[in-house]
Amino acid sequence: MRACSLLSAAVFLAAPVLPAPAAEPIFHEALETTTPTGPNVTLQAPSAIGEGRFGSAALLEARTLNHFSNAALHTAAPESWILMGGALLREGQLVLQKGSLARQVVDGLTPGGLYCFSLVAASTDGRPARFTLDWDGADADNTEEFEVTSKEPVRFWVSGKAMGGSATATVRGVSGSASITQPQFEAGGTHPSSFIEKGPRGVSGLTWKPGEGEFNLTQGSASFWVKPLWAGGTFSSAKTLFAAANDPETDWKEARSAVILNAWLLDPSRRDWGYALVLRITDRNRKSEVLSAPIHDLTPEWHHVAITWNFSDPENGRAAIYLDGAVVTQADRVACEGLEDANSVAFGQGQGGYLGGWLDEARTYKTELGAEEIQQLSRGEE
Amino acid sequence: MKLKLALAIASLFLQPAWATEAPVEPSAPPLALFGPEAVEPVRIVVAPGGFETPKAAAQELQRLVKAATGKEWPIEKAPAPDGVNVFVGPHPEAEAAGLRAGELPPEGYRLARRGRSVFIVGHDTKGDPWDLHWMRSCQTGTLFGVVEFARHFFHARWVLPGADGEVLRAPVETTLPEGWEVSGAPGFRSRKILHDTQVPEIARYLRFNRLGWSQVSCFWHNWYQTISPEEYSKEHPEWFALVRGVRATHLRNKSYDGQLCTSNPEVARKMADIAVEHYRENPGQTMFSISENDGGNHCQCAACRALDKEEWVPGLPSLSDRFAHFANAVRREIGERAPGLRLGYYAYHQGELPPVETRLEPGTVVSDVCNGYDVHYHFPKQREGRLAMMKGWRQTGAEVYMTTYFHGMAWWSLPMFSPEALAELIQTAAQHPSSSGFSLGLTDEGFGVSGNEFFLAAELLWNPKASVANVLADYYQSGFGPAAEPVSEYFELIRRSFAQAAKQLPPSADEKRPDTWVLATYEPIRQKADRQISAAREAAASSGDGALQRRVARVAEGWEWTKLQCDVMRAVAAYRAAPSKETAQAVLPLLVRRETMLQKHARPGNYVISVVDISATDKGRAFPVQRAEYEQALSGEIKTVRIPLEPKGHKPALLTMVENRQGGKPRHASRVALSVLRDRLEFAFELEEPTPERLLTSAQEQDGPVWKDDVVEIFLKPSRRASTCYQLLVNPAGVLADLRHEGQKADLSWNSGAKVSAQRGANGWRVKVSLPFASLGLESPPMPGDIWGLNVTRSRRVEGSEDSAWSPTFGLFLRPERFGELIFTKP
Repeated sequence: MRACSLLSAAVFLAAPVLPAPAAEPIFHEALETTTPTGPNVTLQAPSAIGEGRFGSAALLEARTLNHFSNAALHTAAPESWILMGGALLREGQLVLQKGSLARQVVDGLTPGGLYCFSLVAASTDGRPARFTLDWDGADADNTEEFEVTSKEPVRFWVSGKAMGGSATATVRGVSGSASITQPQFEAGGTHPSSFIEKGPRGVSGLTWKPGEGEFNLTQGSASFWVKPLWAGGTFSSAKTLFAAANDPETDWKEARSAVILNAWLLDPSRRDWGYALVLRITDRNRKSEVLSAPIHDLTPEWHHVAITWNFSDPENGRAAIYLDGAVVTQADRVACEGLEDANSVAFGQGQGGYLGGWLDEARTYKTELGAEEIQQLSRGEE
Repeated sequence: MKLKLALAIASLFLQPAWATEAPVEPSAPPLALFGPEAVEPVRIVVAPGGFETPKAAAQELQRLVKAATGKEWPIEKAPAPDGVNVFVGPHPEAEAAGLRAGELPPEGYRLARRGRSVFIVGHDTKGDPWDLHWMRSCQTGTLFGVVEFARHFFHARWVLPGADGEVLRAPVETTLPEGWEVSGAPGFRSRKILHDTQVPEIARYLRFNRLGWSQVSCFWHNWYQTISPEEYSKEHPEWFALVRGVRATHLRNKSYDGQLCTSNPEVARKMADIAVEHYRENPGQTMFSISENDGGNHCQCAACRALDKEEWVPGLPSLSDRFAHFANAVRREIGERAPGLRLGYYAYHQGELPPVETRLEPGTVVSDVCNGYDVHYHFPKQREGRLAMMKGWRQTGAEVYMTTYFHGMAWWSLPMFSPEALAELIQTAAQHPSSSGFSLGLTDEGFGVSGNEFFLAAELLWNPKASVANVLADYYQSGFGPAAEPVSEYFELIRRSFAQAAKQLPPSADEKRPDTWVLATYEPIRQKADRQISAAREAAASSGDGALQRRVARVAEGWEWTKLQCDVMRAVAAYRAAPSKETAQAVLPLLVRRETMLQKHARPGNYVISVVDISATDKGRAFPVQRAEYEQALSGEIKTVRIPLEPKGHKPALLTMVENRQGGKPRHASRVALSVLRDRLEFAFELEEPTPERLLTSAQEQDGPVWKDDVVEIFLKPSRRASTCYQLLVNPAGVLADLRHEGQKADLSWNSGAKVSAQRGANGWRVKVSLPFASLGLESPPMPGDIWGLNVTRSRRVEGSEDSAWSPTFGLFLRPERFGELIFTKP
């Protein structure tokens, strides 16, 4: 699917009551506002605070750049957009009729990199309107035709791999009259992130610095709700959901005592870790245990994600990934020398990856929760 | 097993194990066919009329006898009372002797001697015996009988396509005892090893290695061709998979995704109608594929989900029951409308597990898929799982056909010699009577790296009970004679090292992660393998046998290629660990060497490595070997020039050239002023040259060899995605050569209509080119926002040679991926 409703985010559901599980979390952030509730907690540059799974949630995204100039469609800067065939730029909107087009040359692209051209469209007069999107300069024709049938704004996008350093993104009117806003041309994947009017967007994430001895990583659990806007897409770098580490600055290949949960979406045809949730737990001797679970069927809706691990017994370590209350992959009888204390716990950020989606009800536990407890967390709405 | 012992044992097995020899009557006198005692004349007798195969088989017999003995046996239509009659194919005399083709198993043959008659009779069908088209290919039992005859008397072996690959000896036996009989039939009804069968000598090679089939097999991904979303989704969106709440009404890359909602009875009905109609139009296509599209993303609707009975991997359902349910539904819908038509589909990815509840109805054939078994073999859990799946499918009662890209889908054509794994796959399938065939992908035409595997696979597909050690010993001895031992030792080194490397891999690593095993396999044996290759070359050189030397050279070049891959991989890994101009510079010469090697081995009949496989792998995700990335690191940003489309003209844009090999400053400057007018482009070259009187200008006529002169060139690619590229060359005499390129094809007959002038001055020369848009195949002049590929270059011939370019290509100029960008902007 290449369209999503913007209005759906504005429909506020009655917040269900979340029953407390048996174990108490050592960290819990409900993400109701931009100000975190706990000590030593930072909520860095969320793209938005909006409707959550329970109350509000934060939209956490990667650093990225909108390659379009005059993306806000200021009529005062018409030189950035090439308008032909009767296309108009007025009141912060591009208005397209049949046979008209608007285009802009974007540059600074990396050959071979994945790019996504997106915009928000609505019918100008409430009657159906059709238009095409494409960006020339991709390694394959990415032209797609779309339709809007009402004044409700909907985001549409096309993607591809850049052949050179420049590309021309074009939207053409096919029939009816369409109003276009929020054009965005961004790197990294096949799906768009939220709109950036100008300049690069900063890095966002939720981080907690545990005190000395507060959280030993030999065993623990993490639980959170995530709405992955990238579900079904292809991205060149990992989406980091959770990262706890003794030394968060060290690359994962060299890290000691780290627990990292990433989503990799390199290619949907892959059935291995390249399109999966991947949990990597590295012990104090840099020995890693890696679990992965395919995510081909993951939807861009709210999902409960949990991980549990316990390496207290050096000969019989355990780890598991849960999705929506069910275990999707697990390992046991893992030989492991144990982990050191965490100096950083992060949700939606860590080791170079970022979430790119909505995060809600982030919790960390000092102990390995059982399946019942995870199910209880995942049934929050009941 | 030590080679010498193996070779000794092999010599005891001149009679193939899968051919059965009848007991002879000791009292009858032997019939001498060859040697000084040979009865003469010997004639080949082929009955007039009939199929093509006996005639072709007779010609091959005549050719092989002449090659092995120097004798030419004439081919006659009727026997004669004197000498020996060798009957090839069905004949009343053969029938009278009890050799009836119709009684032989499919593709089988029977050879016999009765008095002074020798019979070679096989089960043939109508068609061209050298045509291995999946649908048209006929049965060639009589040809296989001739192959058996040549193997018996001349120890004939075919170790690679073409003349170099046919190995014959002088007759190893000269007589036939009375009552002598040999019969044979294939172990699998269908035996395919993937090659380009359109190449005649490859088709011959395959036939001589007894590959073929007696039934049509057809399993390919097909939904996108039969019920495509492009054709049907508007009217019937409900026919297509419900994925994440939306019907899959688009194909990805023209054939991926766009799956069907197979629980919908209308879909089964439509598929059945299409199958019946197709069969009526193509009665030779006795199998119709109903395989899913590639790419996954199958239907998640409740009705489809209800048919899934177990998980494939945690989190993803096995779709085998729903696919079997769909096949049965299509089968029922076909009913009696297409007698003789079978259905086929891949048991693949999410459909690879045997179905839990649903049993396939007769008339449907499943092809299980086992790719990359060379790696799986070394992981007990994966190996066990693969074998269990094979056995599981074959125990369902369904007819099962194995499709395998043994070394993974496409690969860099390296010698990944894994005979045990290959044999296990074929021999496990052979244990089950429901196994009907094999489609085996190795490294197409890569005989320098995998010739031994081709030979082994062909032998095992004919006779699954053959001894692997004996077959390999036979291959080395037949193919490499005095060089057999070092060649065998070389491959044995690789076999052991690959097995050792594979065992050290983490279980998740496979053919998609070459960095995990390529270096680990080949680097430790580099010196030892070099020694074996040298020894093989020396042994071949001293034999004086040109064909043997060329066969050994193919293996040696395969090893050179392998070492180069290791060098490339190390350099690329170093670049990725620390990207810099220095590490990029280290990669580039290796990639240039690699390209040169690929060009050499892409020539038809080379048979060293599989350039097709390598190209597919290079484009895939395995390892970055495209020069552009490293060249980009060397040259910095991509060159661009922005030119406004001013109706009244504009100030020309100035393009300055750099030295083309390194991207640095050239010895003598070259600049180009570029203007865009309403209907044309104008280029004005300013070229510094200290001795303009020495400029080379041999070409005097348009489209002459201007490229040999001092020359400036313009490259234009109006559509960066299309394959069309235009090239204009001008020498100091103002002579123009203009070409249009379509991919690799150059068309010198294209006329640019450009106006050209050239002028020499005291310190250099100048060229002006006015190029009309009209000649560039454009529907309209460029519009604002259009981006063209552009390069301008210069080749100096004075004082040696120096190439310079606006956007350095680091080699040949005709490299569109290295062109700069001409961006047309608003006025």
